[in-house]
Amino acid sequence: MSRPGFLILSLFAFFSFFLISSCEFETGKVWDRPVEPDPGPPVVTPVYLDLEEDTIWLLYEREVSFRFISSMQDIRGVEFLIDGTLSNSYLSDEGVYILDHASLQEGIHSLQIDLVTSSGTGSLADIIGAEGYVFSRSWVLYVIKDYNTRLEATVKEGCLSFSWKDYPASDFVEFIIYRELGYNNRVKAGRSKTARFTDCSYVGEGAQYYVEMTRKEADPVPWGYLSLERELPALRFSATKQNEYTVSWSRSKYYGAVASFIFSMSSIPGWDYVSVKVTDDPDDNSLILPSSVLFADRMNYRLLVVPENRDFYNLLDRSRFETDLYDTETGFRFRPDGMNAYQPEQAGPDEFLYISGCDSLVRYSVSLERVTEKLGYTPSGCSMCNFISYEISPSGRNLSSRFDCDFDLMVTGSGNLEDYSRYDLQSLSGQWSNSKVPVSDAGTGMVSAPNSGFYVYDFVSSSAKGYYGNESSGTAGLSISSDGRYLFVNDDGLRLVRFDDPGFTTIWSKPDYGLPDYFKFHGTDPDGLVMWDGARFSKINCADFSEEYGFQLTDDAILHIDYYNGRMLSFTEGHLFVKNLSDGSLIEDIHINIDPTNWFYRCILVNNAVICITGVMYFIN
Amino acid sequence: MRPYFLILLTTALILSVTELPAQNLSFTLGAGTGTYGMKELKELNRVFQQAVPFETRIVSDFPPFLNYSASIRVQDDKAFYGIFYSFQTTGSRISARDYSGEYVLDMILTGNAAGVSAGFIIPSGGRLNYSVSAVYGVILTRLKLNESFNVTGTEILNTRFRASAKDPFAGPVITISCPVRNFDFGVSAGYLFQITRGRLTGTGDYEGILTNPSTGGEVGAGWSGFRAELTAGVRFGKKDE
Repeated sequence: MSRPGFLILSLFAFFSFFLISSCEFETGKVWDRPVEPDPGPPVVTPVYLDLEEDTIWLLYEREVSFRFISSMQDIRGVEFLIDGTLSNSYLSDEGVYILDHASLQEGIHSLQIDLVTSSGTGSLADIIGAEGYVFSRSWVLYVIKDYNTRLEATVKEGCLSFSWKDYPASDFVEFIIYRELGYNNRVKAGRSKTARFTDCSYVGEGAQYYVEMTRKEADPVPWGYLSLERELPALRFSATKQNEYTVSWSRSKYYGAVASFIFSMSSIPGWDYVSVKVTDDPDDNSLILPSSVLFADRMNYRLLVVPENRDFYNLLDRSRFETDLYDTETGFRFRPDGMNAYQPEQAGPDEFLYISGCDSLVRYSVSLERVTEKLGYTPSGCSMCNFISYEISPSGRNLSSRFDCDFDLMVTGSGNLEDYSRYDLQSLSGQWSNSKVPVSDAGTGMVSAPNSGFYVYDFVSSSAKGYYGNESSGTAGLSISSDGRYLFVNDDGLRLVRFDDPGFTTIWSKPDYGLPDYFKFHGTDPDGLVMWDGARFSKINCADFSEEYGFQLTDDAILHIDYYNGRMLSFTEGHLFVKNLSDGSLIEDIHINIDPTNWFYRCILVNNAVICITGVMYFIN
Repeated sequence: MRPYFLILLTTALILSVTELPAQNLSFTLGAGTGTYGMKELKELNRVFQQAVPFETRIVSDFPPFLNYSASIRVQDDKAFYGIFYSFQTTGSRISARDYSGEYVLDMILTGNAAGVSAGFIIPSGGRLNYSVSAVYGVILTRLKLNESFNVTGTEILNTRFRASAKDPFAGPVITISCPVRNFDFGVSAGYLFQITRGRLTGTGDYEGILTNPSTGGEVGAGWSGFRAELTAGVRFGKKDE
């Protein structure tokens, strides 16, 4: 065969291959499946559906059980839509849908249930769910939140009133208001169809209210609570400069619920309360104390608020309705905090010092009726009590006090407490000595030696100027005159000694037995002293111990002498006497029940006032 | 398919430049039909049917379908040998259709077979020539699987899978031909044995081996079956004695 023939053969074979390769199997056969004619929509009936008719009030998470039946076609599934958005779907005719209260905002929403049935034709679309009947039903969904919250109370015409969130649903029955009287003891306080309750049985004794909302065929829902602290009228004691004492109480907020106010009082010691006032007028809220209540008496006061409606008033638990004012010292309080004023000492014609709470030294002006200076300091890490006691010069101008911890001595003028000086006297008084150091106005003081005797110390030159003592006798310095020249010394009895820098000269002495009841250096006369033997009061010249003047004084005790104003304060049982210092004539007789010789009731006289350690003053008019 | 075609083309070109004295060279084309076992694919169709939620029918289940062949044969006295190529195709369809939509799962199988043949002519005194031959070769199977589902005009499903397999085969062929001048017109019949059960493996973008999800077994094509063809050929070279 020729080559062109083979070439033609090859090309023929090549195109034959492509021709036959393109003839793939194909078929146009289809199967037309039979379908039923459209039977029309079925009748769908809920077997159960735990929802209301048209409006749902959602208070908390809620399970919605459902089951539907269809008259013909199968139910393919159920969808729940909230505000048009699919919330959950069920490929069944029954289930439990959770209405999620937490994920919904408060307000109005829509709930829609779409139920899908098959079409009933059996077509491909029907089988895969692309064809069918949809039944929809919608509800208005009210979501209520923050209902069980703390309620706010108001007062309406003198009665407690409080309100809460409304619940305007159709299944609403009423609100029930409970009041808790004690542990596990709730009683029904009232019922309300509205979201408000007024309780005219509450007088401010403190209470807890609980509101429950009740619905038809549903459990009660906690709807709010109110916790009220005691708001009974507060008692207040006050005194005038005319020494008139009054106890008043604030006007009751809940006056509309009060039947009467019963005011009673008792003295200390003794807890027998005596009713002294009964009133039903809420504006009649004060009482001038009877004259039987004396200056410096410690009293208890009590106000009983009796409610008009006594449903919750229990005589056995009457304290809930009582307000007390305990242990109130009678008098004009110069310490408004009610605390004591320890170691009151005169510091001038009109001022006195006291220790406040052991951490401050306070100066107070009687005429100004206020604190004029206060000195406190931060301790260095040991004691918190910075001022326990202090020594003051006869005139009250200078004073000394120990610092805590390091036992340094503070010396300062009472007119400017902040301007103090600090002295380490342990080389004289011994290590860790905490002895008191009487001071004069001349910059000197008496520093006790470790065993016996004392040094006269010059704070100006910071040196000891003289030593007085007898190591075997237990000698001690008692006080120093304003100018520093004269000393009271305990040396085999009481001695009046003159300091001759550096020597000492005894001017007068008296053995231990029969010591005078009162002896002090004069506060305004540096060369004088006063002495009282229980019968005669004398002013004596220090230089020669001669009496300048004297008079009979038979009181039980001399409490204090105000040299600046020429008066003394003495005590006889049941009386404080303010007397003229020059002749002992009576200026004021103050009736008292206390014993001011007891340190706890100590009183002094400054200007025109008697000042007591308990923080009260009596004005001498 | 391309390698077999290249082999065939190369052989033709070699023959075109080669002198074959004292020999007859013939080129024959055939067209016919055949049966195809396809047992595993038929089982797979049953599984596919059960996998859809509606009733379907298998409207075509690998029926007999046209096949074509081309061969080049060299005759030396009563014996002959040669090469051949054949193309066969069949397929199946799972169908369901109604007013709302249509579901179709088509499987189209094509087999490109190439091989060698050898045989001899049975002497006879008539005008007809009888010959018996044996064939051996490799069949390359290609599977196209298309699944589509449309409902109310919306395409729900459109899945395609492409796979191929290679399997050796062998078989006997009986041919009766009538020579007319340089042409031969005849009819042949035979049986094709697919020797192995090759697995259909994904091609192109499609990975994996076609398996029967019901049994977990691999699935292969089954080309075994009867073949019958009408042939027409042309002879080149020395005329028959």
